[in-house]
Amino acid sequence: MLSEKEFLSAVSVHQNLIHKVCNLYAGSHHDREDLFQEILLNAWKGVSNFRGEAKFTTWLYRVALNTAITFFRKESKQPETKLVTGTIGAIADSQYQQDEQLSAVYMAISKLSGVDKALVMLYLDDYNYNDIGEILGISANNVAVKMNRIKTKLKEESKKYYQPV
Amino acid sequence: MELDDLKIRLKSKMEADHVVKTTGDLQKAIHANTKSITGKIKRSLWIELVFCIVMAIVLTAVAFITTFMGLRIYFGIFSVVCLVFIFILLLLLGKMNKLSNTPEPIKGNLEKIISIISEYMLRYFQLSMGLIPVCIILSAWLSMHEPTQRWGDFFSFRFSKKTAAWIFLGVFYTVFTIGMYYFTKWYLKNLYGKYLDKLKQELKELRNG
Repeated sequence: MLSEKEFLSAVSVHQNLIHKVCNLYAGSHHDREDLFQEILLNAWKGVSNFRGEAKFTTWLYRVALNTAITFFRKESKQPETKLVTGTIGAIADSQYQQDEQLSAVYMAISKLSGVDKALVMLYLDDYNYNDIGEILGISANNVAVKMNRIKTKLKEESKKYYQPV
Repeated sequence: MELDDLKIRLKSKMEADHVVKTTGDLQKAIHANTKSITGKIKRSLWIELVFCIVMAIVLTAVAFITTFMGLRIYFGIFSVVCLVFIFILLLLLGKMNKLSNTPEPIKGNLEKIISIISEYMLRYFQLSMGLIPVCIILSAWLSMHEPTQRWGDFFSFRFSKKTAAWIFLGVFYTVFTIGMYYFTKWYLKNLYGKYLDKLKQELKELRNG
């Protein structure tokens, strides 16, 4: 079991991972901060059960994605889709001139469901279908089917934001 | 424009957008209060449990102290109802505490949270609905034994006092029952219903190949 110091040091090294999840799942700065804190808190509560059988990053991904997908937001704050689009839009705007394609795919990813976002994120991080299946709790075949469907969906959806001349 | 073509650039873009937290920030975060749904339910259960215990003590005390037989029975029965509530709340709290902190696969985690929230909502609804007949039977019984003069007078220009009292009670019970039913449904839907629907939708997507 990791001590508090060891845990904080490990999280500090891999905090990119948590930030990525927060950026994709929460819209406003306030929501991202809340989600970051919640992920960290859940990771800290669960670290006593971390036996080192899986890589720390895989374990942290599981905690982060579980927390993000089930994160409770009050409806009254702002609609979730608007928030997510807003963030991705903000990120995208800064480089919009240079990279319209990238922005369009970003926008399309932001429209996906929580589970599909998790799949894309793990895929982008080079996890193989077996590992993704283990994190999600589904078979590798199922992951492959879903990934193909998501790729097609993203291709179609991103056309709404970018049309090559 | 394929996802694979942009894989590396997308990954670096996602990683780039954040302010790095210091160890001090991280330490502060792990000692903060949780905002998770299970944490919220646990807090609600504790508040309800404490409230029920206090009510059970107060009602039992009143039942023993009062010299009026009607009040003694009324408060006595409600203190028993509180004890039943306490038992059910303890059962639910036990289930919540058994929730492991080991991160499960997302599908298993979703199933577990959906099951807990569904059970919490079901028990809450059952308890609220279960109270309706208790209230009706008790108030009808008390009305028969200690009828309220005022309401009898109010209707007595057309009916006998007894009939007037029964008409009033009939209307009151009907409105109360229907009101409680819809209010509880509305309250639960607003509290957790929409969130539960969202989780069920995510699970459905995960299950569909």
